[in-house]
Formats: sequence, C-alpha cells, structure tokens
Amino acid sequence: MRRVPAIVLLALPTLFLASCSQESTSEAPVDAEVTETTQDRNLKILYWQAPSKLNPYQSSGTKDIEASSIVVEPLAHYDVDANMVPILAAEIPTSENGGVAEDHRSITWKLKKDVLWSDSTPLTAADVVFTWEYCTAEGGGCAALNAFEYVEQVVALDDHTVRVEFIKPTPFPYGPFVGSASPIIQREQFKDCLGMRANQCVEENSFPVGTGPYMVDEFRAQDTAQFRANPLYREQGKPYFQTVLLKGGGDAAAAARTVLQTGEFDYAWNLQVEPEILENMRNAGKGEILTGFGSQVERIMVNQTNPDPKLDAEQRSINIDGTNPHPILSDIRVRRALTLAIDREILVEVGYGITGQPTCNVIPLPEKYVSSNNDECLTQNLEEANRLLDEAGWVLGSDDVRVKDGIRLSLLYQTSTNPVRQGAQSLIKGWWKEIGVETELKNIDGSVFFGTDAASPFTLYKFYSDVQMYTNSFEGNDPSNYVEAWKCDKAPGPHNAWLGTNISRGCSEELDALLDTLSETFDADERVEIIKQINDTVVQNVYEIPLIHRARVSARANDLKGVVMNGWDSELWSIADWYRE
Amino acid sequence: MKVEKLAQANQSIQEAREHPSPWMIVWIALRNHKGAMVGAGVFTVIVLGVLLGPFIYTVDPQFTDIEARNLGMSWQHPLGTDNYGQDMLARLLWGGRTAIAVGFAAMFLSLGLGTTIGLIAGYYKRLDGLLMRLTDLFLALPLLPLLLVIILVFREPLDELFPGNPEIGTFLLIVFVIGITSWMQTARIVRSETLALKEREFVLAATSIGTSGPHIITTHILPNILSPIMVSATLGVASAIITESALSFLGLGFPPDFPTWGRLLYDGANFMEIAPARVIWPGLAISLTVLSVNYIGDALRDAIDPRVRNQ
Amino acid sequence: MSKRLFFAIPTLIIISFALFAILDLAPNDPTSDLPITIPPEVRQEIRESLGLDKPFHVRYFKWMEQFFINEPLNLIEGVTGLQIGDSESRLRVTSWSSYRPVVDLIIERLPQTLWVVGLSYVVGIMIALPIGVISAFKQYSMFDQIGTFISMVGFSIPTFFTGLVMIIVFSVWLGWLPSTYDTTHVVKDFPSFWVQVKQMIMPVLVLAFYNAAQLSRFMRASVLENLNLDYVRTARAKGLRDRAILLKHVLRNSLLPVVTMIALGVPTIFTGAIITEQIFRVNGIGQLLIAGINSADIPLVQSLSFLFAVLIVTFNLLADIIYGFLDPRIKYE
Repeated sequence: MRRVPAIVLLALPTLFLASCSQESTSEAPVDAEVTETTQDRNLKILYWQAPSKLNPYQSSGTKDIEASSIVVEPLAHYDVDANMVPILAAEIPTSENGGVAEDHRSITWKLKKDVLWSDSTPLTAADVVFTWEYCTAEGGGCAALNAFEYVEQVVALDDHTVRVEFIKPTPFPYGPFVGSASPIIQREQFKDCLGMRANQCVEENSFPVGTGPYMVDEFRAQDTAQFRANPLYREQGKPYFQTVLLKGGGDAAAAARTVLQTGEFDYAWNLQVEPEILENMRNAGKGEILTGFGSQVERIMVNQTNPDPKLDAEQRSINIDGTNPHPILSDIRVRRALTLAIDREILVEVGYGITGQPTCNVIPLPEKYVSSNNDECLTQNLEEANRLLDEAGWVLGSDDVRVKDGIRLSLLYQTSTNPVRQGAQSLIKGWWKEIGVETELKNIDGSVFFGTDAASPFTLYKFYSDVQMYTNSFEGNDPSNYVEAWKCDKAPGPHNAWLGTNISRGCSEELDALLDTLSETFDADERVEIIKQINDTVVQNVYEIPLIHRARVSARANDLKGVVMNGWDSELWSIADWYRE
Repeated sequence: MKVEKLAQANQSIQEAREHPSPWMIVWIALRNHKGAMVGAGVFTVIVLGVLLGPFIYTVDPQFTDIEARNLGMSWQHPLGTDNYGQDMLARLLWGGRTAIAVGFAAMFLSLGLGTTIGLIAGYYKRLDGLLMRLTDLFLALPLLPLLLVIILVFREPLDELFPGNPEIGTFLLIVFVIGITSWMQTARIVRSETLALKEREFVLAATSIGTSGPHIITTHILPNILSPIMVSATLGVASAIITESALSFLGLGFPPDFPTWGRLLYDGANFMEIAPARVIWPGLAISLTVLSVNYIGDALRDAIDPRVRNQ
Repeated sequence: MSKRLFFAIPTLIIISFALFAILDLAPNDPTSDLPITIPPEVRQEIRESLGLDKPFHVRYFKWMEQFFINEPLNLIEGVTGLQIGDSESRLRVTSWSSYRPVVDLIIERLPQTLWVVGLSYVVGIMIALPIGVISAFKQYSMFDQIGTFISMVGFSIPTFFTGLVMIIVFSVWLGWLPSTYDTTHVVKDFPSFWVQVKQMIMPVLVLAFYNAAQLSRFMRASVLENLNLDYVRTARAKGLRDRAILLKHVLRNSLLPVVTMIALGVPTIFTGAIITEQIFRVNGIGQLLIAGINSADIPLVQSLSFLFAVLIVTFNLLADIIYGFLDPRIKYE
C-alpha cells in the first residue's frame, strides 16, 4: 500500500507523455520543428526610440528613417567607407560611364530590371518620378525636401531609365534617391497621398509597399513593428530570417542590456551610454559592440555676434554686417585660447570610450577630405592659451577671472540636456577656469534646443549664449552642401526667420571666396582641396571648436552574423544579409 | 472694554477646552509610539546631517577629478566617486538639502493653500460651494501629466529670470507645481473640522459677543485643528520628496549637473552593477527620510484620533 | 446626485481648456527629433503642414469638435456597425508624430496597460485586505508591527528603485525573468501562457506591492475605527466572540470606505503607471504619454490627459454612488 503513491508519481508523467505522443504522432515532430525554426528565424531588434511611421518622407526622427529602410530602398546606399553601392540602380552613374552630364546639370540612372514590389508589380521609372513629385508637392512637409532643392524635374526616359535635371550645374548630383532618407516609394500606393493629404495617409505611411527584403506585417506606432520575409525579394535565398520584430521603449542603457547581458534581443540601436557601463555589459560575453564612424562631430559653436540680453530681438545674436560683434569672442586670440585649453583625450575617455575620437576638424571623414593642418589642438596647451590671453590684454583679476576694460572674461555655455554633455560641460568649465575664464553652464531640453520654433528663445538657431555645444554632421558622403552652411549671409536672423545655417555667425571674406570658387569648380580633386581649405578656415578662425568625432554605436548578439555597421546610411542597410549561426 | 471682555471670554474658553495643546499631542504620540520615536530620531539626524554636513565636509560636489573616477569607499572619498570623479558624499549631502528643501517648501505651500481654502470654505457658508467645486476640479486633474507638462512649459523662461542659477528657477517651479497639485486633501479635512468646530460652544460664544470672522478663525478654530494639519504636513513632506525624485527620474527635475537625491539615483541606476553604492546611498536616503516622516505621521494620526487609539 | 453630475460637465470643460492652453504654451517643437542634417527651412515646412501656424482659438474649437463629436460618432459606428453621416471625411484627432488617430493609438495601448496595471491592482487588493483586517484586529501585535513596517516601506520606496533592483536581480543575475514586456506576444497554449506570466511578474509585483501598502493601511484604520464604535462594545458586552463580531459586523462596515477608496483608484488603471511602464517597457498608455511629451506631440498629450480627467471625474461619481448604495445613511441632496 505504502508504495503506491510512489508508483503513481513515477507513472504519471510517463502516462501523460504516452498519451500525448499517441494522440499526435504525426503532428508533434513537425510542430516542434516549426516552432524551433520560427524561434531561430525570428530576428529581434530593439530601437529604444520606436518608429512612429514607416515612411521616411514623413519621418519625425532617425528612428523612422532606419526602420523604413527594411522595407523601402533607394537607388543606392552608402557603404561603410562612404562609397556608393547600387541598390535599385543597375550601376552608379559617373562622368566616365556617361551617367552624369558634361554640364553637370543632369544625372541619368538606370534601374535594375525585374525588380518587383512586394505586391508583385514591377518597379518602373514612373515610381522614381512619382517619388520626386511626392516629396516636392506643396504642403506635404517632406523631410527629405533638401535632397530635391535644386532639382528642376525628374523625367522617365523609358521604363527603367530616369534623368534627374537640376536648375544649375551641380557638382554632386547624388542627393536625390541615394541613402535611406530618400528611397523610392510606390506610385500605385501613394498616388492619392500628395501634398496636404500626405500625413492623412495613415495606412500607407504604416504599411508601405517596398522592394526590400522584408515587408510590414503589423505596425504599432511607437511600440512595435513586425516584418516578414518578402518572397519576391530579388536576391535568391535572401533574406535569411522569416520574421523581424522591431521593438521600442526604454532607454539606451536598458537596450544595451537586452542584447549584451540578457540576450533577449539580437540587435540594439543607438547605445549612447557611459563607456564604463557598456564595457561592463560587454564583459557578460553575450554580444558585441559595433561602432560606425561617419561625419558626426561634437563641437562648440563660438558666437561671433553679441548675445547680450539687453539687446532687442532685432540685434541680439544677429549679424548686422559685422557691426554687432561679440564683445569678447570677436578677438581670435581669445577663441584660440579656448580651444587650446581643452583636453579632448579626456573628454573621450570620460564620456565616449570606443565610441569617440578626439578631432580638430569639422569634416572628420571621408578620408580624402580630412585635413591634417589643425592637429595642434589634439594636445592641451594651457601655457600657450594663457599667453594668448595675456597678449590680448586680459589681465587676471583677484578672483582668478581675467578682466579687460572692465569686462570680465565670463561666458555662458549652453547645450542640450544629456548626462554626457553635462559631464563635458563641467570638464571644459574646469579647464577654462585654469586660464582665467569664468563659465556659466546652461542646459536646455533637447526637444526645445533642436527645434526651429522662431518664437522660442532657446533654440540653437537663436544662439542666445556665448558658446553652445552639439553634434552636427552631413548627409551622404559629400560635404558640398554642408560647407555652404558657413556662408556669411546664411547667419540666422529675422530676415530668414532664424532658419539660417551659419550658426556661429562667423563671416570672413576668405571663407566666402572659397565657397564661391567651390561652386564653380567641377574637378573632383580640386573640389577636395577647396573643401579641405574651408574646413581649415573654419577651424583656424575658431568659429567652431571641434571636439569629438563621434561614432554610432549599436550592439549585436554573438550568433547574429552578417551585420555591417555603417556610419553613413541606415544601420539596417544590410539587413538582407543578416543571418543566425 | 470690549478687549477686556474678549480676553475673559477667551480665558474661560481656554479652560473649558478639554483639548491638550497640539504640541503636547505630538509629544505624547511620539513617546508612546516606538516606531515614531525611531522615525523622529532618524529624521532629525538626516535633517541635521544635510544642514550641517556641507559645513563640516567641505568638498565641492561639482568638482570633477578625472583621475579619481568610479572609486569605492576610501578615506579621501568616504562614499566613493561617480564617473566624473565627483565626490559622492558631498553630492549626497547637497542633494539632501535640495530634497528636504523641496519637501518642506512644497509642503508649506500646499498646507498654506489647503488650510486657507479649507478654513474659508468651512467658516463662510457662502463660499463653501464655490471653493469645494474648485477643490473637486483640482482633484479631477491628471496630476503627473500636468506636472510634466508644466515643468516643460515654464522651466526655460524661469531659468532666464535667474541667470547663472538655473536651479533656483527649477526649485521654485517644482515646489510650486507640487504645492498647487497637492493641497486638496488638506482643504477637505480642514473644512470638515472647521464645520464641526463652528458649532462648538466656545466658537458660538465668541461669535455672540461680536468677534469678527477672521479673528475667530485665527484664534479659535486654527489652534484647534492644528493636529490634523500636522498629519497632512508629514504626509506632504513625504510625498513631495518622492514626487521630486520621480520627476528627476523622468528627466524633468533639476538640471543634470545639480545633485538631488532623485537625480543621483537616476544617474546611478545604470551604474548599479559596477558601483551598487551609487544607487544604494541615495535610494536609502530617500527611503529612510520618507519612511521616518511617514512613521511620525502615522503616530500623530493614531494620537489625534481617539477612536483609533488603543482599546 | 444630479447636482454632482451637473457640476461634472463644466468641470470637464474648464479642465479641457486649461490643458489645451497650458500645452499650447509648451516651447517644444515636433521637428526637434529630426536628424540634424535636415535644414531648418524643411523643418519649417513640416511645422506648417501640421497646422502649427493657426491661431489658438481655431485649434481649440477644432479639437473640441473632433474630440467631442467626431470621435464618439466613430466609436458608435465602430461598435454598432451603423453609418452615421459622412464618416470618411470626418476629421479625427491625429497624433503629430505618427499621423495616426489618437483614439486608435490609445486603443492599441490599452490591453497591456489593463493587464499589467489592472492585475497589479487586483493582486494588491487581495494582499491588502486580509493584512489590514488582521493588523487592526491584533493591533500592536507582532503581525501588526511587521505588517505596518512592510507597508510603510512599500509606499516609502519609489517604484523606480524597486523596479531597477528587481531587474538587476531577476533578469541580470539570475536570468529568470525577461526585463522587457513583449506587447505582441499571443497566448495560445500553456508554454506561451507561461511566457506571458513571466513577463508580467515583475511589473505586476512592483505595482501590487505599492498598491497593497497603501490600501492595507487604509483597511487597518477603517477596521480600527469600527472596533471602537459602540455597537462593537455592546456586542462584546453581550459576550459575543471576537471572531463573530469581526466577521459579522466590523468587516462589513469597515469595507464601506475601502470600497470607495478602491473605486477612486480605478482611473489609475487606465492612466497607467507611467514610471513602471517606462522601466519594464510595457508600452502602454503611460509610456504613450511620456513619448508624446518628449516628442512634443501636442494633440496626443492633450487628448490623453483630458481622457484621464474624464476617467477621474467619472469614477469619483461612481464612488459616490457606491457609497450611497452601500451605506443608506448617506444621502445626497
């Protein structure tokens, strides 16, 4: 009697198993296999800032552009070294192969043949033309509008050839349709979404039909997006995964943890976390940290106009033909002293680790544009900085702050609210203190600082402070448009509703002359030289103080292979090649 | 003549009153309540610590020492340092000042508002309906979203008012926001106590000899409702400290370079595995302060409510 | 009763105006999240396409119309399947960052919020009531002392602290529970149900602990109050046993205020626990609100916070009705 319970206990599971296997002998193994492979062939990506729509033209942030790059594709992508690789185009048009016109006023793209949209209709030149119409339609609020700024029209020469014509000779004609920010969208799907109706097309903006390796299955704005393999994808045997889950929420540190420590996700994006933390998480051994260097440079803008709060809105931080100079920072010796006093190595060590490198250039890559004329600033030189300030007539006062003509050498230093930036602020404040410069720190919420509301006094465009710090970069691999920003007349002010791009308001004839020459030069090598000179002029005039060349940083699980981190395009640009080992 | 009469009346009222003075109640409550004794002791130590601490331990909480980052405990840095080499003890002490200052200031504001509104509503029947509708209206406001939004709206403009000291603007804003969104319970309690007291003999007596309303409120009613107000006060301090740390946790509190307990906890959260101390100390500080204040409040409540007192 | 109902409507209208006005002052810019390479002129275009250049009153009345007329009509249509007027061209309150109707976004987020926050509320109540009753009945006993201490700790330690500690212990060190909540997970069999349970444990516990702490204190006070009332003394004097008194009389009477308290707390189930949702990435209503605030999605934040106000007012009314129903002594003029 006593032994019965034991027997029952032993027998129960066996009975249970037996009944199970009997019931479903034919199904069970198949089922098991399916679940295993779906687990295995499901890619889990964490974008802690979740996408809000999958149409990059209606994007409200980088997250949208990257997420949609899984589905829609441009004519060409930028690769890791910022070279163009054809995606929907058969080849990259150049002057040599006749794709770029002699007069630099047009470029002709040939599309790959037999590319199908995921609804099995063919991709044609009409879709490319339509994409241009869509983005430039009145009232559409297209986020890639700048790519089409100088486009006069886009014409379809035949079903698979399009010509982009520009209103003026354009030395870099690859702006439109290259890179994840301006992919080709399907005409059939978006034809009723032009202009004012663009943002009412909820269905279209959430479920775009694409040519990419995956297509949208389910989309929950700012939460999750589900994708599944596109059976019509043009490359045989790709993509590897059956489904892709793109999840959002939390913060950067939590995202890093899910890949590096808990292994819940295969890939996590944008992990701007303190270097020690990232290092510690990596030690768990579950994943690898990926960095991709592009054109991002964290820099300090040095205001060349007077930001005195006593001035009215027509004058404060406005360049009025140089008659409104900054009372302190208009002296180049002061500006040079400020940059020399900074120890960039330490800024990197404390705030960036492997995700940053000290730099003295505002154009840090591609390699051919990098100048080596400014590397002096890589080593901190407090002595020289002090000497420069002495020479400029700033005398150390009793409270260790320099004074000249009754003006204290005191600066207001603003940036966006972000722990790494506040850390850098207080380090720099310490160094500047050593050369007798008093610094007052201020931080502004990013949602205000980076906005363009002309009514707000706190945007980076208004620049109501002496110096300000943030990261700037350029699109694509060519800084031509970017250097234009330093034109004297592009300084923000009431005349352009504070929408100018010359943020430091630095003006020099030398710089303007260089920019004029650039716009008339079409020889590639000469252009590189001029751009390098422009970089040197900006840096040596200390309109901007470059600090750190920043990398994008993401993480992947150890068994996720084929990931190629890219600092120039969407990180998911190569998702078709990702596989699990 | 009138004054004399009044004084006499007052005196007799005083004698007739069976209520011991509120301070006596506090003392009795604390003495009989072990938890409250411990709570009061801990709270006193914390308040004295953050008030006097920075005078004794004079390290600058903002000083960054690149050589001494992420250190553990040592004689030089008793609680170690953070990832910028800032001294944790100094930051904890300064952070405590802010947290406790916010707690008390917000509590006084909310108490002031709540008591005034409660007294007026309870005493003047004409205004009762209006004021209680106002209270209901505030009770219906979704508080946390409102807090977040108000801070977002007004932080930058306030910073401008105090150039060089952005933390003053934030301090005022946080105190104001917590204060005006937490006075309603106090107002309700005070009103109901006032309504009850209004019918008592000594108040009726004072009214019958022509004492003015404001005078009755301040000399007769207010002293008698101090006990429930004190209970609200303790709860107010506790919830204000927690609210401030929650705001800091959502990144909408004080500026990042300005230490407060909530901010320290938030910044330390990511470092939990490397340096657990960065989370434990501020977490303990917040929890202990709130816990001790709550214990005092609990004892007070037991003491003033005879029905809940020991059987 | 009708008087209270009568006041609820102007209250809500005032609140809607106040929320709209405050949010309108917000200096946030919906274009601030765009990559910095997008030039300011393009940002301006985007702002205009969102209607940001229209005057205040125009936007307010437009929102009122959309929120109070169009959205309810849509809901009725959705539920009944009827077609009322021209539903295609009816303008809806649309989020600026996703261009999707705010109501759809909320409906999408509701399930996870209801599950996690709602369940934690139920668990909290189930823990709190017995603890409160026993604590009161055995006032100053060991059980009471410990119970008091634990509940004090419960509402003195911020949830973001407990949440973080739990993630470190159970997800990182032990690896037992996931640190993220998967909203797309579908329960179809036992293993998938288990996955669902595992991902809900931590957020539910953190919240339940907090809720239970407050409620058990309230329950204790309520029972204590009743224990000292005359009827209990009479019952005791008559020689009735403590247990009988407790179960028969005290419990029923002291549950009255607690039930009201519970009803008053129900709106928090819908408003979500902002901080807990943030920590465990339960992308529910609370997280939606924070995301809206961070990306300056004004229509979303306006509608959400107003919806919260509606819930609070409704449940206040409900609490009054319940109280009046349970306790016939209370009458509303």
